[in-house]
Amino acid sequence: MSPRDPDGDLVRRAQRGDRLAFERLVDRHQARLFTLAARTLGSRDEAADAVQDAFLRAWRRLDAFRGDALFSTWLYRICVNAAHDQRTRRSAEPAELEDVTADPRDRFAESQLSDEIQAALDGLDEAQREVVVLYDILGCSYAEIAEVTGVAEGTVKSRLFRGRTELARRLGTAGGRAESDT
Amino acid sequence: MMADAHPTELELLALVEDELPGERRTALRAHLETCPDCAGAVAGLEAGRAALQAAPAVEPPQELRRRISADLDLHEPPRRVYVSPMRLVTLLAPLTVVLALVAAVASIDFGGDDSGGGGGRESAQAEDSAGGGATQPEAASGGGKTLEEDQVTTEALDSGSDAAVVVQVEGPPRKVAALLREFGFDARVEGGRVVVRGAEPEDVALELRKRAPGDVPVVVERSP
Repeated sequence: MSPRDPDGDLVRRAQRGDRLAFERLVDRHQARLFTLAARTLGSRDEAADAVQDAFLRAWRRLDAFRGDALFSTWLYRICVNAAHDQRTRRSAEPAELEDVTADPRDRFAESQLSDEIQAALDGLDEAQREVVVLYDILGCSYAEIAEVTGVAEGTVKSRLFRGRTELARRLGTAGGRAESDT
Repeated sequence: MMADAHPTELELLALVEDELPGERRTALRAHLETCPDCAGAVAGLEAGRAALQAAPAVEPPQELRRRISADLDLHEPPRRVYVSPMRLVTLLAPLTVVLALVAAVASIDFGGDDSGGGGGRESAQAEDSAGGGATQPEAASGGGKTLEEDQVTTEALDSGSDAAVVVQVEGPPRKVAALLREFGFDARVEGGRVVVRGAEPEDVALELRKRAPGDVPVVVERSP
């Protein structure tokens, strides 16, 4: 476990079965994980499901965490995967299950994030969206994002470049030349 | 001259993030004065960053924390066993003896003529290579950390029978089985129950967690 990991003590205790230590880790990271999931999925309900899944997966696989990366980085990675699964589930939802909720369309619309930045984020591809959210909203470093997303730092930077540029274009705040493209 | 060559995307990003050394930064700034394409790209990067950093916070719903705790109630984590340095010495002592014997036998096979005191040193070397790194001699003298970091883990999970009712959910059974098959499980309807084969009960329960409770039993049979 890295000595510089601010979660190191709690993680070690949790790995020995200390449930309260893990609960404290949940308290520490829940809000940031939720922001990550909500901004990448665009839906509060789906983000809550993804974060719930992520913490359960982390709890069940806690012994696999070796401390090579920061615990927060490990959690982000699990959360990004859970959000990805959530999105896959959304598109693969079998038609015959639609009657499970009384009015799924209304429920879905209600939980959507509707601010302007989300509308622009939703237009990015998934990989770019993950990177801009991790870098510009959560303040992760290139190296952390490379760990979380499993790609090289150069790829992270390239996705950040394209993601930000596309976002600005969608918001109509890009430089003159880019605006005229719309 | 320098101003004529377009900088790469990564350089423009580094400029915006203030990660370029002074000289290169000055050269790029000069280039931007005369190149609307690159100036537009930089403006886009800055605008995108500003918009993202100004994004309003999204608060998690209050019930999320409770849902997470409820999940933790249902699942025990695989537990990493803590081994104290003293306990480690006791645990490793027999292993050290075995390795020393192996090393001794090996030295006989190689026909070594260093009778007497040399055996101890050779056995220490054999331990080093057999243990794949920092193990016995150092650990026995008090460095219990390595083993804990290593792989002393034990599954504290489901030591149950071969078939277990995982959960009772809302039917009809056909829909439950279809849902599970969507997630790659081998799930079938048998006599009003849903039977899943070759899966872990916890994984099945995880997928069905969001389904309303009901009267359809879901049974998991592990592979033989």
